[in-house]
Formats: sequence, C-alpha cells, structure tokens
Amino acid sequence: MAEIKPSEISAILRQEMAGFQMETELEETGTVLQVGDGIARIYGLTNAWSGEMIRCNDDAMTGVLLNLEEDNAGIVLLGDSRNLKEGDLVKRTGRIVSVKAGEPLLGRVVNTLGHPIDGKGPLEGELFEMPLERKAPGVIYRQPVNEPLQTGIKAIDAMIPIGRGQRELIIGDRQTGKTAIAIDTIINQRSFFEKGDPVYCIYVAIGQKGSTVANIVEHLEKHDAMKYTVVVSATASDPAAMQFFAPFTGAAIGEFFRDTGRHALVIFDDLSKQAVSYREVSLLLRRPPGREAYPGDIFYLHSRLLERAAKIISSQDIAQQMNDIPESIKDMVKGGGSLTALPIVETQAGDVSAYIPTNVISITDGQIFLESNLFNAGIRPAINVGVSVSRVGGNAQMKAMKKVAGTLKIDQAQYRELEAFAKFGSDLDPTTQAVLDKGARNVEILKQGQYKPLPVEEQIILIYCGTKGLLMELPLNKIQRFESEIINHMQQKHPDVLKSVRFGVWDDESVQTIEEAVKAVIQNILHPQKEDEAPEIKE
Amino acid sequence: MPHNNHILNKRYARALLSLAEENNILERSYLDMRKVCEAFANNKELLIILKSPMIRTAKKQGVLTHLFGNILHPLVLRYMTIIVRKQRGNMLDGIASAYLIVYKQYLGIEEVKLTTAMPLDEELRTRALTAAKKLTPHQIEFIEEVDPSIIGGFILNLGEKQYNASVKHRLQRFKKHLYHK
Repeated sequence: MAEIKPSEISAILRQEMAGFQMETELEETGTVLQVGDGIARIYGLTNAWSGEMIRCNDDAMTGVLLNLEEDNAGIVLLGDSRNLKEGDLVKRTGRIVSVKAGEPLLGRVVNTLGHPIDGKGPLEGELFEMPLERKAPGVIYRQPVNEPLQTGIKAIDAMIPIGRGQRELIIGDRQTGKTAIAIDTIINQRSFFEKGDPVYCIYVAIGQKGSTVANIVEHLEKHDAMKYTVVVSATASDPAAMQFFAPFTGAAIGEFFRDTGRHALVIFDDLSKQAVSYREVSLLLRRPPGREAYPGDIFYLHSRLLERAAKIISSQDIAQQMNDIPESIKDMVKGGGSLTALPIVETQAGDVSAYIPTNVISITDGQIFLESNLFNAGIRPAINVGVSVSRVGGNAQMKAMKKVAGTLKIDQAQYRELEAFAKFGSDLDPTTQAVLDKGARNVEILKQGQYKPLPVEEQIILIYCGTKGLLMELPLNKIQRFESEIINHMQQKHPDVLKSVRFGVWDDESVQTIEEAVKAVIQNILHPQKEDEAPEIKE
Repeated sequence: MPHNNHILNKRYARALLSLAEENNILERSYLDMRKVCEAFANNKELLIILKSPMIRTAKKQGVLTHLFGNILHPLVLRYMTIIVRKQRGNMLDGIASAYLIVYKQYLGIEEVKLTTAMPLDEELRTRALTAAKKLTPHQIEFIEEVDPSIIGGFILNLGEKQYNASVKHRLQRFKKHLYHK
C-alpha cells in the first residue's frame, strides 16, 4: 500500500471544504407530541404539505407526513420509532418522498428507500431522483398496447396474452403458483436482454419472509436473470409504512425505464399484504375504517399505483411534454417506452368477492386466476382458463400465435363443461368424445414446469399440434415425451423454420414442414425402431 | 409532558382568555398561568394528585387554594377550581400551557428563542434583540437558553422556524457532505 502523507490529507480536506456550503437557511420545525407504533404526532409544521418528507433527529430517520389535522400533523416513520422521543425536533425538507433510480440498481436488492440491502456495497454510477408518488401519464401521452410481453408460459401467451404496458392481475389462493408465474416471466426476459432489447424487471416483495426473498433472488441469479432485475424488498419485519410504500418504489424505478424509452416489467407481490399494512397505518392515524376495516382510500391507493403502468406514445415530440416529469430526467425523456404491471393478490379459500380482490380486478386489464384444485390435480400452471381474461393483450399478440391459438380458449372452456357431464354418463356420441379427447390433450400440452419458460416459436408449434388435433393417436401419458422430442427434432432438422416462425412467418410451407415433423416424431414414439431402443440387459 | 388533547385544552384556554379580557386582567392572567406552568413542571406530585380518582374533588380544590391562594388573581384561581370540580383537573397542566399559546396568538406576540453555548453578555443581548426585532413585525418575547452541546455559534427559533448557525450543526452537515460525495 502506498504511503499517505498527512499533508495530502489536509489538502484533500481543504478541497472538500471549498465546495461545502457554509450558509445556513431558515428551517421550519415541529415538535413531537406523541410517538409509537410507527407513527408520530407533531405539533408545528403548519406549512408542511401532505406527503412531504420530514427529517427526524438530524437525518437519522425520515418520516412521511400523511395526516394534517387542526392542531397536529400525523407522520409515519420509515424506521424504528424507538429512535424518536417526545419533545424531539423534526424538520421540513420541502421535498416529496423519492428514491434514486437508474441502471446501477440492476442486479441489486434494495429497500423501500432505494438503499441496497444485499451487502454488495453502495450503488455506483449515475442515479436519478424519482418521486414515489407521481401522477400517471395523461391520455395524450399514451398509446394502445401493441407489443407482446412474452411470459414464456404456454397457457398465458396463447390464451391470456399480455401486452407491454398492460396491467394483468395474478390472483389465487396461497400455494397455487402465483409467484412462480411472475418469476418465470422474469426469467423469460433473458433472451430479450441478450438480444439487446431488454425488458427490465422489478420484483417488489411486500410483507414476505426474508428467507423467501433470498430464495427468489438465488433462483434469479441461478437463471442469470438478475442482470436486468431489481428486487425491492420490504419484509414482514419492516415497519408497516415501509411495506405499503414498497410498490410505489417499484413503480418509481419502473418509471425511470419507461420514461427513458425502454421497457420495464414490475411485479407487486403481493398487494393484499400491502393493503393490510396500509390499513394498519390508517387505523393508527385514526382514519375512519370502512369495509373489512380498510380505509376509504384503499381503492385510490391501488388505482393510482397501477395507473402508472402505461405504454408511452412513440412520438418523441409529444412524449417530451409528458406531465409531471421529474426534474432529474427532464432531458432524457424518450417516447415508446412501457411499464407493464403484474400485481399479485392472494385470495382466502378462492373468495374473489372479498374487498381487495374485487377492487384490483376492476382496476386491472384482466386477470390470471389460479386454482388450488387444478394445482393439486397436477395441472400446473393451475390457470382456470374460463375465468381468466386479458382485456387488451389480444391486440399485441403475435400474428402466428393468434392464428394458431385462436380457438384454444373456447375449446378448453367447452371441454371443461363436457368433462363434468362425462363423469356420469358412459355412452358418449363421437363428437363429444372427440372434444373430450382433444381437450385432454390440450391440457397436457399446456402443462409446464417451473423455471422452464419456452420461446414463442416453440410454443406456437406445440399449440398448433394441440388445436389442429395432430396428437389424437398419441396416448395422454406420451404427450410430455412428444413435447421434448418434437422440439429437439425441430431444433436439429429445421432450425430455419423455427427462426422464421419466431419472426412471425406462418405460411403453408412451414406448416407443412411442421406437420411432417410431427408425424415422424409420433411414428417414432408409437413404433420405435430397434436401433433407437435402449439395449435390453440380459441376466 | 402536558396533557395532549389540544383541541380541548385550547377550548378551555380560550374561555379564560375572554373572561380575563372582560375583567381587564389579561396581563395578570398570563403571568399567573406562567406560574402555574412552572409549578406543574417543577412538581410532578401536583399533577399526580389532580389526576388521581382516589382523592376527592374538595381535597383537590383545597390543595389548589392552599398553593396558589396568595399568588394568583382570585378569578384565575376560581377558574381552576371550576375545572377541578368538572373532573378536568387532569388537564390543568395542558390548559395552562395552551393558555400561554392562545394568549400570545391573541396579542400577536411571537416567541424568539436564542440558544447559545455560553451565556450572553449585555452587549450581545442587545444586538441579538435588535436583530430579532427586525425578523418579525410582531411584538416579541425573547427567551435565552444556554446549551453547551452546540459547541459554538447560535440557534435562533422564531415561532416554528429555526435558523441553526451552531458549530455542531455545521459539523454535522459537513460530515453528511463527505459521506454523500
């Protein structure tokens, strides 16, 4: 190590002192009247705004002003309330709560205030201040969803397509694979990242166990997905205020990418826990409770959060005039970006008519409904096709996929209906039997393992086999094997067809190639040739 | 800490204020209430007695008359005994401190507090006073406080505004400046 001379140190210190503003300005203050349960009541702060950041104890902690009352102000503390005492002085900052967002966040785990908590040191690189609460872009700065967001999950990309800029709710009981869908979607964005057209992902964990979050990060790292992902974590042991602000942090980070002309995906896992922590804070602030004791503005809390997911207009001139652009990114604004939101809501015993699920269903552009009985029957992802919808994603679906999967959803709904009947009757007419056979095969095709998202061209081929009825002679238990074999076959013998399908070509020629390949693979499965068989071991 | 139902405290305080105005004892009532405040701050037992439901109201009134009988204006004392009779004795400390605020608001007096590391000498005091008078059009009440922990410089509190020119604050800001570089 090189020797450090004391003279150098004092020179550096002097340099630092030179750039330091010694002026003091008039500060507005208040005194703490009461503190406890993560909130404090303040006397004074008469000029402070609602939502303003309040400094407590000389920056040891920040608070957010939420209640303005006749004789006091209620603030929520983003930190340990034991650090604040009655009679302490708090100061206005004149700023709204904000986080520092930017590329350096990628690959990191941060808390609600944007501070890294993964032990990998401070964030290095340029960061931009983004407000947590910000008005969503107005009507003229938006455009309809027109690009698909590939989740890599066959059942979703075929039947409930999601577009970039859409808000699609993932709803279901505990242990039905809600988070799995979200994580698979993040993993599937890797190919886009590698191609240089990234969809940046933000995973917001609200009120989860620390171990669960660590587990998710580990899986993302294992699948090389952290390079384009930010994890915002507010675990169950964090103060309630940190938990209910966490999705806003995620949205603010997503907005940075959205407003600089890039694509981002934000996952809120989950909003029912966020609603619970918001209820806690609201009740402590003595706001009147409403249905299920949630405060009256719980709908507004979720709607203003999800409204920030948007597809920004591609016209650069209009996009630059977008409303409420933060000062820090004013000259970086670019059109054409998007922020897709996948909020997750947990239901209790499949009750979608509870308060929070109905609210979020009505706010979002569709929902993916997961059921535990499907999950237990081995149908994974356990998507109930009948009640899952995507209200806008259809416009963004790839032409080839649309052509191939057009009737799949109706077919499956019909199959579900007939299946219930078929359980009682033994004699079925041939048409019914055909619907049942095809439906059962489609169900098999739509099954997919966790952490195994498929590229869109492979999905199209598999779904074509199902909807076209090419697999009728294949027994149900051979379908899984067929899937891997046909993919292998196509990759080895017809990579050009795969490539053209990926770019949306779906002509007679490629269809014919695929059909021939399918026939060959089925033939091989049903009547294996001798040399393909494993040699028998004789005793 | 005074009882913290501020709306209620202020309401009682305003009642005394209008009563004092009617009887032309505004200034006297203010000084009286300051004494009451001091008494509460220095004697925790007094509030404990007033709060206790075990002690009968007549006894509480007796305590007040004994303590304040010779010091306070009779009207102020009667006001306090009425409050005790109405089972609000536990709020008396809050009402007293609210009265000081309400009184100053009514007369437009602004509180100016100057905190220094060492006691002010006469010359500095006059200079500070003239400087403070320039800050606000209102009448001022000048309070001095000595707090060695601020090292040097001064802190000026004007209502809820603060001008912190202490050495301690500057050092803290410099530390932050170095950290966030």
